[in-house]
Amino acid sequence: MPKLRINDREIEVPEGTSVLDAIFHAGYDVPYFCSERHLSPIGACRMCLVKVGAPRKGKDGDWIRDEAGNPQIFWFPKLMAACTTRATEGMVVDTLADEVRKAQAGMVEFHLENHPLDCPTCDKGGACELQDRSYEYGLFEKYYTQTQNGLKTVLYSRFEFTKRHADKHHKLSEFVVLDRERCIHCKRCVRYFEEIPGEEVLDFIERGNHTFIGSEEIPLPAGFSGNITDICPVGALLDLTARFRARNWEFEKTPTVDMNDAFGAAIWVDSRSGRIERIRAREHPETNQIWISDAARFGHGWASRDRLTEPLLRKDGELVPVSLAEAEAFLAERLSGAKGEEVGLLLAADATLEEGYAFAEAARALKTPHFGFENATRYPVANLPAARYEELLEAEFALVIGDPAEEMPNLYLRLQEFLKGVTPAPRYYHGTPIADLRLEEHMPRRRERLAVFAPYPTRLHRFAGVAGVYPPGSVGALVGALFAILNGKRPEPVPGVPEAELRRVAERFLAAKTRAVVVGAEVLEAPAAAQAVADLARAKGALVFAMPPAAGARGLEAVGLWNPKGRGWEEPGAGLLLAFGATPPERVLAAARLRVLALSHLDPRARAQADLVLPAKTFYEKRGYTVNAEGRVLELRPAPTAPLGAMDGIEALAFWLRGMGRKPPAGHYREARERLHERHKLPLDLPEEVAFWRPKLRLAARPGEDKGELFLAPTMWRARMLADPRVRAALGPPRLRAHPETARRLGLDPGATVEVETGYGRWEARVELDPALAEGALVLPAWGRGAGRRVAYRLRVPAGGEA
Amino acid sequence: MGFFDDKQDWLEIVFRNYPPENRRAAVMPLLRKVQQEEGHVSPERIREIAEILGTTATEVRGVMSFYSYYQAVPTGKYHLQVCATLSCKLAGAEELWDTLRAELGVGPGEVTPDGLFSIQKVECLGSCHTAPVVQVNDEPYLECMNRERLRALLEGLRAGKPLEEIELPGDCGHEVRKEGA
Amino acid sequence: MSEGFIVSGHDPRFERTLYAHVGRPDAHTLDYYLGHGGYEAARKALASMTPDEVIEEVKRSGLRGRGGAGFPTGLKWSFMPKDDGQQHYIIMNADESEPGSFKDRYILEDDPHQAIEGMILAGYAIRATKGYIYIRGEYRRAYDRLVAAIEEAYARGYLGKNLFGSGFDFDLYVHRGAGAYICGEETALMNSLEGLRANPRLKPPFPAQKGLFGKPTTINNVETIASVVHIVARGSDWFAQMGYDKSKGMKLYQVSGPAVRPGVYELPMGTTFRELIYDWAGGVREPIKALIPGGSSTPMLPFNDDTLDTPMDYEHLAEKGSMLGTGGVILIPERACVVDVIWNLVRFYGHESCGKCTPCREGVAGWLVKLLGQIERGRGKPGDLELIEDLLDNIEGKSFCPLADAAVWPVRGALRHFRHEFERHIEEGRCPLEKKGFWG
Repeated sequence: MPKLRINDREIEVPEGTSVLDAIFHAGYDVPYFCSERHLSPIGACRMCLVKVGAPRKGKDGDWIRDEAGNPQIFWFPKLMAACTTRATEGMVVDTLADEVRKAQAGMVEFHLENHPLDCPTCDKGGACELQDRSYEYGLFEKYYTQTQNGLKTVLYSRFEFTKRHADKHHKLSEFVVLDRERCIHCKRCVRYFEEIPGEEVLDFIERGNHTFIGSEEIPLPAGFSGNITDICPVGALLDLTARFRARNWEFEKTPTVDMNDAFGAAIWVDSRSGRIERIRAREHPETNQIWISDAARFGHGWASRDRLTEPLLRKDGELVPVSLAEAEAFLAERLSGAKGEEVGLLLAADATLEEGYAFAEAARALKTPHFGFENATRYPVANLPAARYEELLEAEFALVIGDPAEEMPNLYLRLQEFLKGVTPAPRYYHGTPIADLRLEEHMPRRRERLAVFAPYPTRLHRFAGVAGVYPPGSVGALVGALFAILNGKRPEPVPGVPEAELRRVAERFLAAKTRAVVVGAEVLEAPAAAQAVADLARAKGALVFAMPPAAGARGLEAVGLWNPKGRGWEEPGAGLLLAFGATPPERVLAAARLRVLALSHLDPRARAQADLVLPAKTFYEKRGYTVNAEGRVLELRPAPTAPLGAMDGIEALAFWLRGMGRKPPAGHYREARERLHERHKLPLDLPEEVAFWRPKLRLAARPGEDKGELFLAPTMWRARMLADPRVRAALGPPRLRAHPETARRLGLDPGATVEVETGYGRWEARVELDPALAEGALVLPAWGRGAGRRVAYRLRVPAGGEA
Repeated sequence: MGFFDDKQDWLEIVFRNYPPENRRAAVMPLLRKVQQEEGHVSPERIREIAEILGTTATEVRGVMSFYSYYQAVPTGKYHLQVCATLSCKLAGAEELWDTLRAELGVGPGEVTPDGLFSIQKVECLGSCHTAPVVQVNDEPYLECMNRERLRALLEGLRAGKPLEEIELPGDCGHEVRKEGA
Repeated sequence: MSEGFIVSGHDPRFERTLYAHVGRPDAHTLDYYLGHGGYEAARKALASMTPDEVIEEVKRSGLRGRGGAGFPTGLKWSFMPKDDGQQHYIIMNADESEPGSFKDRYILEDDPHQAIEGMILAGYAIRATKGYIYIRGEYRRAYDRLVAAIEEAYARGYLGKNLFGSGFDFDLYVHRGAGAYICGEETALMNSLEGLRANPRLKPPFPAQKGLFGKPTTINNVETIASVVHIVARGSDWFAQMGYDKSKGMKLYQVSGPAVRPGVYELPMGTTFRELIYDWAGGVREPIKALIPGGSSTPMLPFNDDTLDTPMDYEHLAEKGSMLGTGGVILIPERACVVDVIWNLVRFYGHESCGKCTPCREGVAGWLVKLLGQIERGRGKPGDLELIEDLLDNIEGKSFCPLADAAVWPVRGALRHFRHEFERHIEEGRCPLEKKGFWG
């Protein structure tokens, strides 16, 4: 732990700390543009130049000392870039010297040289690092004032030539636009793509003063592209969903959690005048660091369009707006004398713990078998042990069965970090290291540390030492065979995966001191396979990362919404139905005689089948807690965008129970939270870094087995997001992927548009042949519903007739 | 058909120059091959190279555009590169350039209508003692260029003579020493 | 003359080695090379010296890098790890691109086996079994000759497995550049060789720790590596006899501009400009006002007795406020405009800037070029020179790699010795020199 002096302060920092981080750690400031947390330091922008000196050792191995006997400080002949200089014992750093000030001011001037003065129309204005640093470090009086007509005026730059002109509206995708004039060549975006998601889709083109950011992969692949809009220090890369929607200071900024998947990524919801305009990543070092997926970032458009603002009641076959009082009266009439066991209480996948608790308690009180949540898997994810994401970085080997890039995109980024062999960074007083010297450009990926299996090639496949594709439905066989080999038994053959490959995986698994197993929805839908993973983790010791398709699954199961007897979200049975947050499948609605849906948006199924629709909040607007995939308790805070009267699940449930003449378990959020805490002793007062809730559960798995032939592939994108034309344009029509032989057998022509109908909906899909799939495989994106399942389907070509 | 389809043997020899796990190190020889044979590197070739190397077209273009030798737009059969850095400038490179432009009627990035010539000003070619220097395509330098030698060069090329057979009149007008004797 | 250091080409003890065969017919063939003692140094070293002994010998010789920076070669080699079990690489930097420099090309064209033998020795010393020669793309003839020589050497056992029966294997590859001066910077060169954009890399890690393909690597200039052949063959004492205290050995000096015999001259380190220009290059063809002593990045000096009597080595040129650089002397005639000359050079550096760091991309390639062009075109304003000097302060020593400094130094030199020319441009609002066609 080297001790060093920053100006007047003595500090001690971990070995390998950059001078830049040492400066911040000491409480001083230094400007920088190219450095960024989690990216390799490159020393390109030269803003962080400081004066650095260090003692030297003489031939006798002792410090060379001055007359006073102190180690003599030898100043480096040049100013040093703090971001790429390692802090060493006895170092002395001067960030306040005149020469430092001048160098920094000079560098600001160079940065401004070709930067347009369009801040008044720039979306980054007010949140721009270049603006801030220009004010803080650019105006060095000696160099930046001039006298005109006896008046001293401020001079921002002495550059009097025409600025460089370049493409100002270069669309990189439906979501991201590039303004090449504003670019200051910090290279954050280029490094981001190579270092974080591992896709080299942006690079500098040309060189010298002509250098610009360009791509031959346009549109940029949707998945992880949006993070570059967060880290761009200027307004060169902007979020198109938020373009010109507001100045930065006009946004209401709400810190909350993304509930599109179970990772629990921290986000900012930027809203204005009751609309969500932008989602940004919020730093949470232990979970998503500073990254989120494109779905989490750009998939918010649905929440602000066509919102339900008042109750709708079916009258003469049509849903018409009514007052809340009329809705209440309707419910009271239809629920009078209702039996508790007739009631079905269903909750959406993104519900909070409090909502889950209220629903579970109500179901218990009503003694109804009909309750559950959307996308509950057959095997309860809460049965599996949970590990912290950071623990993954300590593992030596990871076995992945599933598609992390789609199921939990942020876990995919963590796996990329794992491949680079990076362990969790130290924390400084200022937080995450800004210039982590352990990171380098083009770090080799340790492919031998990773094995990936999925029913189709995933983004992770090309990074894995062993990568396999098995036919959908064989996941049980795969896990079984691996399990057998690990236990020294003869494995049954797994279609598509040679035994030798499995043996290699087992060998590496056993050779590793710490191992991780990552499993997705498909495994959780196959109880025997999931149980095998649980047993394996216990017997051999492995970190388990399970990726349930329902964001709140772990918490909802633990608060009592696990329903092993079936009759949950998927199965018809309840006569009197309350569903909150999403519309259950058609067959479930069809079987009920009263269908009350609390929704933020009216969808076709609700329009056709609901008796009463109540306006509901989206997860962006809720207050509450959730438990993420690692068992961490995270707090949701409400963005001020919900229409007046929009209910959360607790309110909707109370509304329903009052109609039944019963007392609700909680009348409102605060009450639900108190009860929940009383009952489960959640660590709600702990900071999120250490707030875990991992009750040891042995819940019974739900029986049943998938019989269909169409595999619903997990996707980071949700069906509701497709309401936004921008999302639809970016994603294009869903792809129905088929092995060429399968396609031939089914008479599917590549490129043809077909209509696919499953129990989860109907899609116009485009046929795509994929020889990497197993023979017989047919894969359709799930868009969030039934991910990881094999379902029955019907195919129709648009002209009519069965395909 | 891909450019490299019938050059698999050649590719294999190139890849032998680099460790097998660093295939993308071969990007420069591949780009050079395309430039030599097609006079420029088109986006299709960029994609083809990316595929061969297992990287992205963006990366290949990033590398390609970094160097002055690879051209993004088509060049003439004879791409004349005129060194314009100090020693050549002192020896008349600007006059050489102006003469060439006037003679051919093209500017940088253009090709003469007959498809024969394109011109480019380049930085120091490393033959300062025989300035001014011109390089045609990827061939050895033409030294001590002046109006007469330039005219003879263009005539020879127009007549379809191979470069090494074109005789340039006169000499440097001064001695050139490179040997240590 | 016969006492003490050899600092003149006239010294009878001086004998040419590096360029002894350049210009001779067939000197590039293996037979010629073998006929003139070729590969004897390598044979001797591999048979009777340990790698560390080779490094020691080079250290003792006082050889310093001939690419321009002048770092002691033996010391650089000693940074390489020993017995670390990793692949090591030796790279010959033949990306000779500094304006005014053209010495390495003829070694590769006319004496490629000398370069190959040097690579074997260097590879042996630093325990590298693989070597790359990064040759600038435009050097077509040198490339052809080099490739042919390597093939010949392989065919006759001078490259490949078990050289001279010593058990030492050495493979040599050639990689062609494609027109980027920055590839002369060793880390940019490694990036270029790896198929990346040729931006300089961060140091540390230094190439000796983590270089080409992540492996320990040493990069040396062609002349440096060729010199090693003769140090091993003739001993470090022979080498150290030439030149003053810290600048040892023979050096390839180059003369361009209006000399009677411009070209490359192998002379002892410390030879004066006067001897080079008048005795060897035959004098000047027209009045000269300045000379650039060692390639375009070195600050120019006025062409006067003081300059002419300066010994050309690292220390003496530093005393004059300039540098030895690559030893490429460019004569600037009276008729040339210094502002135009400097604008040309700064344009060169601007064109060759990789664009990675701000002061170089914006300061050199953007602003400085524009300001100098403005002055040359007669649109300079009072205060422009002070502005330029302030920008030089903001650039020098602040860029990522030395390329920006290389652009700053010539401007500094010109302003130091020829400020009046800049001032006249601004005062008169035009370039005061009549532009005469150089072709008459």
